Amino acid sequence: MAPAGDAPPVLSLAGLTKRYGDVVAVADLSLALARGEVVALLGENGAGKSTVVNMVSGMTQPDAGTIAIKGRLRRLASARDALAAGIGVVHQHYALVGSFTVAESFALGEAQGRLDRAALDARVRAVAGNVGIAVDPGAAIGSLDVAGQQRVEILKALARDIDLLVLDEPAAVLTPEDAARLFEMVRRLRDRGVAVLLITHRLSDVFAVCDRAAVMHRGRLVADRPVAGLTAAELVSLMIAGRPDSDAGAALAHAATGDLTPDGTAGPPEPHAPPGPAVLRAEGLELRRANGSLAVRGVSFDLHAGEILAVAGVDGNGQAELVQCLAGLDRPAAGRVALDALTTDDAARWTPAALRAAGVAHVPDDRRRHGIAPDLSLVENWLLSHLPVGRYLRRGLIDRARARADTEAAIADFAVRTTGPDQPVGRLSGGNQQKVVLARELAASPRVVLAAHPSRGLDIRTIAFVQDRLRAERDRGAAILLVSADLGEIRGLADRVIVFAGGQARGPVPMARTSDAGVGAWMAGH
Amino acid sequence: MDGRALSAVSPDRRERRIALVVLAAGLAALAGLIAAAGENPLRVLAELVRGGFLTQAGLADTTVRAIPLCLVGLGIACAFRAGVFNIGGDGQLLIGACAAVACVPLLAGLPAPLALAGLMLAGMAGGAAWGAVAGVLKARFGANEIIATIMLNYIAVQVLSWLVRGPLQEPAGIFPRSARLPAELRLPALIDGTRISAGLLIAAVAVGVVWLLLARSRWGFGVTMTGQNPDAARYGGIRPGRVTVTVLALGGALAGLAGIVEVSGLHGRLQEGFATGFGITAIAVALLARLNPLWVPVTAFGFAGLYVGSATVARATAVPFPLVNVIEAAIILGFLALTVLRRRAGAD
Repeated sequence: MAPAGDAPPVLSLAGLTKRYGDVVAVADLSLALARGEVVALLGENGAGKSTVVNMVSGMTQPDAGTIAIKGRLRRLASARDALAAGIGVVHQHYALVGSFTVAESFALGEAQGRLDRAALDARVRAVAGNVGIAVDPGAAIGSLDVAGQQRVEILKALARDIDLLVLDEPAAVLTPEDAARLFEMVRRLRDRGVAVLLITHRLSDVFAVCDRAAVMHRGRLVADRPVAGLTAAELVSLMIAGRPDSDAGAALAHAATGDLTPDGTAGPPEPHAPPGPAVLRAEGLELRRANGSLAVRGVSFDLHAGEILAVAGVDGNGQAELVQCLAGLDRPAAGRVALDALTTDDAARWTPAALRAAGVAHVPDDRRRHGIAPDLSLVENWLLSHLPVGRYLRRGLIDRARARADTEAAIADFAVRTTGPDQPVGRLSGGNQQKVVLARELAASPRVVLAAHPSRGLDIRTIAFVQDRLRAERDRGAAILLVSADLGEIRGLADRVIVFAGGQARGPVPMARTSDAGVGAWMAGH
Repeated sequence: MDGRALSAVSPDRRERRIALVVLAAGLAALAGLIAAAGENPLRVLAELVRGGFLTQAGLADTTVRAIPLCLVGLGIACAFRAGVFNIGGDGQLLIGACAAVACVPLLAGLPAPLALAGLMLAGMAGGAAWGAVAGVLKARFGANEIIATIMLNYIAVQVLSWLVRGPLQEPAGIFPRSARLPAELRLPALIDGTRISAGLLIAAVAVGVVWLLLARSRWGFGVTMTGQNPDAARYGGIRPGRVTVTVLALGGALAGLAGIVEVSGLHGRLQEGFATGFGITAIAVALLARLNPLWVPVTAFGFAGLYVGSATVARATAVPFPLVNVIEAAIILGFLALTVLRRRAGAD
């Protein structure tokens, strides 16, 4: 853990400062990583973590301060410079080409002349073997799940001879199982002397694998301490208040059930009115992936008004396909879904537009891809799920004034941090984008809410907010289908749970009749 | 070495420098070409501007040419907004004109204003059908619309060729051209002494209608959203396939309208090669207008003036007419370079 002798640190940041206009994103930040050290860089959304990553990876340049690598001052003017200096970065949003194979992704950016596929495949396997991951060099990127794509990105970074691996929110998109596998790999890298900077806002990541925790609050480094002496409540308090002893820390640490370890379990959900009649009915569903393979079969459930039904499971077990099907984007391979007079038997009418018109709202898993058009304003994005089904029309034309007023109301109601309804939504932080999507989807008092990983990638405060809104919708009488891989979140929100694993569905069963161990065992396929 | 020195050359600045170099190189190449033709670049420039924009005759000719460019450019702006690359303006224009002229016998006997309206509608229907062919090919079979529209251009040229030698040939049967349109099917001249027809009004109305559709209609929202993020559009309940077909049909209708406006307002009859190159220049028109329908007439006028001015240049100087293509390309390059500059300036 400690630097051997007086070898210079792998990475040494001194007095880094970056401003965007009037906003100081990072202020006078100094941080050093020694060989074989795993350091967590923590902070809420907007605390400046990503800016640090961008400066270390050469994407942006600091306004002041220096970056030294192994004792030498470096100017990182591009990602290429960073790589040449021995820094590998795995970003939150992967820069992969879907139609390429794993091996071709490796060749991207370094290929010269003829592509020697056999040698390339061998190299991919060798790099993967070194850190104990299994990959198929011939698999198409597009056919991999999120965890698989992340593995490819990490392997690409490791393929070069790097001293420092920067992982930007690596576990945010992973299931507990995949996250554990990732951390196993991080430990192996550490043992080989690679320093790892892990950007995260999940406390569980810190306790799972990190040696030291550096906490940022509003652009400043407010703590840099060994993990061994820290508690979850202290970290939460540092992240949200900038000091280790605020009351808010303990309170919010309790709300953010999913992120809490080692012992933070939430109490049972507050009792509420019994659920109403079934709104949506699925019978004997069989769902296939885009590539035709079986995702899950034998899914049957009734979704009642005024209940939250959780779909639990390790990612890639058919949850995405279920939501796509219920949202009208896809049809089941067998079985049927019915909502009022609409059924999947009548495939021509089972469309997103028809279902939205019938009162189905959809908070998608992959917001950037499905939920928003980043270059368009908040107002235009607000219209996305309303205008196509005929809301906000007056005499055949768009009622912009009303859309704008509703967007402004939502900005206030959901405390969205933005310069106003005309700002391109892509300029907002991830948490604020999620708030915009959520506000939009809940705006028309939907009867059914399909919420896929609604709190994934969000900071603690926003997670608590999102969960509160979902509870409020349920109490209003909405039927909510919650897809989540986070047992804490499921326990905190759901009334019943159905588990997808190994191509099968278990349940639904009432949450009161389950234990975490039991559901966990189902998720693991036992 | 402090932090400021570290950031002396950022990628942003590098990009801006490249843009400037491109701009300068384009201008230098243009000046070099003119000099190679034995002329003074400044004199050529002055002649170009004067011939296209500063004389009465030049202005009139520019306006005449701007009408079809504006109409076709509007349709292309819509398509590009939806992320559909319609290169088929020329073909849609020709088929529109052909369809309208083919309908002339049906319109005989109608009151004049009605007959004229019918002629315009027939032109729009013809162009729309031609555009929709490419749209259906893309939406239904995944055909690349760039290839499809280009191929349809060639077919349209052949269709016209056949029609003016066959079914639509003038009764005398000598030249490959149609009979003259009867007077009641001609668009009246708008300004006496010029060739500017009432097509100018049609183009103006089209600008308003397309603006209204794009900015204020549900359909226009679907177009923009599909262009920005087709996945999100689908998720919201928009059907990208339907957007593709309708946007190409609308573009075709506008191009077809341009075609029949050219025939009815300018040439008076159908003949081979009566309108070439509008489809391609209209792409530049739409791009330069940043796909904003309200700017399309402005950029259409600019490119029309460039064309007319180049003709003057060719007459008055030693520079040959094809230089207009080089100048057009230089302008587009320069514009792209300036776009990069401005975007970078905005990002700083």
